[in-house]
Amino acid sequence: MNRVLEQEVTCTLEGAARGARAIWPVAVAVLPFGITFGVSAGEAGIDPGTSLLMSALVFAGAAQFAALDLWSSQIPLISLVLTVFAVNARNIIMGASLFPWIGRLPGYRIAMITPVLSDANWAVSMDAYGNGERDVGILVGSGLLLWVAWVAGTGLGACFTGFVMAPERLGLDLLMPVFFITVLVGMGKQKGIFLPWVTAAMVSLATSSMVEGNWHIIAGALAGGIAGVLHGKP
Amino acid sequence: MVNLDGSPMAALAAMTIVTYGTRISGVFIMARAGRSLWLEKFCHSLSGSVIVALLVPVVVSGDWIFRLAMAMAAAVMAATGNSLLAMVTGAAVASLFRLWC
Repeated sequence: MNRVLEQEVTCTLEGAARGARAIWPVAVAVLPFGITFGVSAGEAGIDPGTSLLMSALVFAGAAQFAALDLWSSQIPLISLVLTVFAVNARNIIMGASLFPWIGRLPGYRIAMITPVLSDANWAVSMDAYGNGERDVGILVGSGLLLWVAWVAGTGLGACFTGFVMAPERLGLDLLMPVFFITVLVGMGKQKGIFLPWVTAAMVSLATSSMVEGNWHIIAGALAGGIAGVLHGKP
Repeated sequence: MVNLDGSPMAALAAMTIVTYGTRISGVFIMARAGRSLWLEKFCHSLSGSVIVALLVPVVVSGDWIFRLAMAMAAAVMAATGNSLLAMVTGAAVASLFRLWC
C-alpha cells in the first residue's frame, strides 16, 4: 500500500521547463482570452490596475468573468464570494487528486505550489504523474506560464481598449477542450477507468441539466471517484 | 440586514482568498482523511473523472463543428500520441469549417 508515497518527490527547474514546454500551446490560447477579459473589465468600469491585480491574484478566468457581472460602486460581497466559490470549487477536487504526489511535502511548500493550480496545468501534471513523473516543478512551471499569459493578456486588453479579438476564427477557443480530450486519450490506457468515466459522464450531464454553475464537475468527479473505489484498481 | 457591500479592493481580497482557499484545501482535506486503499482507488479514478465531468456537457451542448474538431483531435492523439499535433488538428478543423460553413 502507498508505494507511490514512498517515492522521492522533487521540485526542479528542469521539471518547470518540462511543464512549460508541455503547456505552451494552451498558453497561446489563454492569451487572447486574457485580452478579452481585460477589455470586458474595462467596459465594466474597472480600471486597468485593478483588473491586472485581479488576474495576477485570482488567476481564474471563469470566476473573474462571473465577477464582472456583479461589479458596481457597491459590490455585493456575499454574492461575489458564493459565485467565485461555485465556479472554483472544482479546484478542491483537483487539489485532492494531487495528494498522493505532494501531500507529504511540508505545509509551507504545498502553500507555495498551489497558487498556480488550474485546470490545464493540473491535467498536464496528472498525465505526467501517471507516467511516473514525481517532479512537482512540472506543475509549477506549466502553471506559471499560464499565469504569465493570463496576466499579460489582461494587461494588453485593459490598456489598449478597442482591442478586437476573434479567437474563435482561429479555433483558439477550442484549444482548451481539445487539450483536455488529448489528456483523456492519454489516460485512457489505464486499467479500470471505464466504469468511473461512464459514471462521471452520466452524473455530470444530469447535474448540469439541473444546477447552474460548475457543480456538475464536482458531482461527476466525485461519482467517478466513488465508482473507482467500488470497482476500480488502485 | 448588515450591509456587506464593498469597495473594489474588498472584492478583490474576497475573490483572492476564496479562490486560493479552493486551491489549497483539497490536499489538506485528503491529509486529514488519512491514507488507505480506499483513498488510493478514489484518487486514481478522480483525475480522469474530473476531465470527463468537465468535457461531456460542453460536447453535448456544442455544435457539430466543435464535436468534429474534438473527435479529430482525439483520433490524432490516439494514433500518434502527439498532443501538440492533436491540438493543432482540432483547432485547424474548427477554423476551416467555420470559414466555409
